[in-house]
Amino acid sequence: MIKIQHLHFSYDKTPILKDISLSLPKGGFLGIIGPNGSGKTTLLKIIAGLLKNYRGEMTLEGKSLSSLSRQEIAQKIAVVPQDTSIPFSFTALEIVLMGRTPHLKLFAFETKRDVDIALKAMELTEVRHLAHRLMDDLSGGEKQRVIVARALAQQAPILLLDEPTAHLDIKHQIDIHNLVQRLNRDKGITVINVLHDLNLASLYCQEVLMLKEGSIGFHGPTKKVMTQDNIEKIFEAKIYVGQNKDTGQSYYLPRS
Amino acid sequence: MKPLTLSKWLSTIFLLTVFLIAVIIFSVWVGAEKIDFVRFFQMTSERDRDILFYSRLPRLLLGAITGGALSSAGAAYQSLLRNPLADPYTLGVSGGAALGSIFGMGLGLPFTLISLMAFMSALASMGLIYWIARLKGHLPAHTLLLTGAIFNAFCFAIILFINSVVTIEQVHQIIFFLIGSLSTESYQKIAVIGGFAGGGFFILMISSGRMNALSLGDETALHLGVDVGRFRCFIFFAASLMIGAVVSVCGLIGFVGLFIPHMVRLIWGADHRLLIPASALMGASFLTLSDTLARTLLTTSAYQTELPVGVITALLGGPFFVYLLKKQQRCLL
Repeated sequence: MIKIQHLHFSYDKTPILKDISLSLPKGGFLGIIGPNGSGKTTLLKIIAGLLKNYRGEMTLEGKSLSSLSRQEIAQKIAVVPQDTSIPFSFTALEIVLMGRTPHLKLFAFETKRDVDIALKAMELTEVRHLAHRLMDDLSGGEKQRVIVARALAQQAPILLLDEPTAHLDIKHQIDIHNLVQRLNRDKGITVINVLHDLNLASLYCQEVLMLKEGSIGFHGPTKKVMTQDNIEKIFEAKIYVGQNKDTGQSYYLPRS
Repeated sequence: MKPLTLSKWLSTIFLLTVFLIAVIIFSVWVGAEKIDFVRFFQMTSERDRDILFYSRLPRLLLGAITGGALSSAGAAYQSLLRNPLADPYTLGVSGGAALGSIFGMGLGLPFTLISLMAFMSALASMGLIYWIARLKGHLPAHTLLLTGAIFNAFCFAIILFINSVVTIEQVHQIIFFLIGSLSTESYQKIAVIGGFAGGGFFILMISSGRMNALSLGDETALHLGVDVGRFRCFIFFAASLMIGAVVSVCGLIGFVGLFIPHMVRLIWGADHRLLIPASALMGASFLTLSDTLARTLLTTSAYQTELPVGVITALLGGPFFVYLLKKQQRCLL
């Protein structure tokens, strides 16, 4: 459903992404990992249609991304960004309802159905009880769960996440990722998740793309590519890979 | 607060419209010259009718249009620039429009052309300020306000330069213009700026559904399917049209666009579909009342003079700006 061929991108003259090719089927769950400045967020922005002046081809359900309008893209792709600062006093529900924007006419009010969709999304991210509270009064974790609910209210078949749980405690990290996994399994939503946390990546992603200096270092099924060798090469850091005896999952620890 | 519904929208707009009409009716009868109700309705007094239709009513209409235009344009700027301190005056757009109109006056152009020049210079100012204040794709609040202040100072310098080379009658006109005043006798002027402001307001109303997403930032708005570039152009165009029009007649009336949207948000919430029209109606009522105050404040005492309404709004708006700035400080850093 998402297909990228020979993608190159540069800011000014510094190349950021070099010759990226990848295809993700409907219902896929891809994690993107890599060191700071390796181009993860840029790649996500290109997939979200935010950056236009790339070279190469990117298609969404067979259609070239550049041929779609903003509204059409937003009906297909929802994004949970890193930055969640909100300058005005909107309530949590109002923020989630904005997820319905791509489905609304230019000047229109949300219908009962839109409100139901928003509330359902808030239920899933466990912020339903905060619906009428102001965003200013919520904690960082609550805010981020509201933002995830907004992306869900968009009801797009593709969900992009840019370190969605970077500021959350471990319970909410797990809850959000469990939720995303459930959406992926039950509703067939395609997920692309940029992550810093290797453990979350190995726990949830079906396949992993490792970026280094704008190029694909390794790409394949999570178990196959997230080896000690590969990770040490990509991050230029020493790590220890252990195994959870109960589940057979790998875990990753820094080594000095 | 419950999210916006059509019935909440309609009832609020209705309430505010009734309030505005009440304010206008009240203000018509208040003033230095007493108007006798009975005589007026018996249509026996030429004098009463003249005061009402050729002095007070045009001034009230002008006040309502100006207040409405400045407030809704302020609300739109705040959304687009993600800055609750943005207002046509603090941003420097009004200053730019004033420069344009004074230039037009100096050249002795007809009024419609002066309005057009004010609009062009408002648009150019907004573009310039936006371009200067934007750093690497971001628009930091303090840079924006600083740019506005410097731009205002620059415009004033040119205006004062023009002021020193024109005739003495024009000097008086320019000074009055800089303080901001609503006195007019010309229904034709009101029709022209009403048309400009109405057109701008219509564009703002259409865009208001997307302003909610826009106020969350360019990137989020794009994610939500809003064509940010296009809407930014629409809104800058519409707001400049409105500001250019009202500034070309009333001069610099500051801060209305700052505190009216803030009050509306406190009472009815931040949803722009309601914020834009509610700000327009509240702003219209507010400026009409302020002008009534300005008209009557000094006429009862020994002074026998009228205050320009810009004095009242600046006296209220200055301290309010400081209050907002202190309140917003953590967000600005």
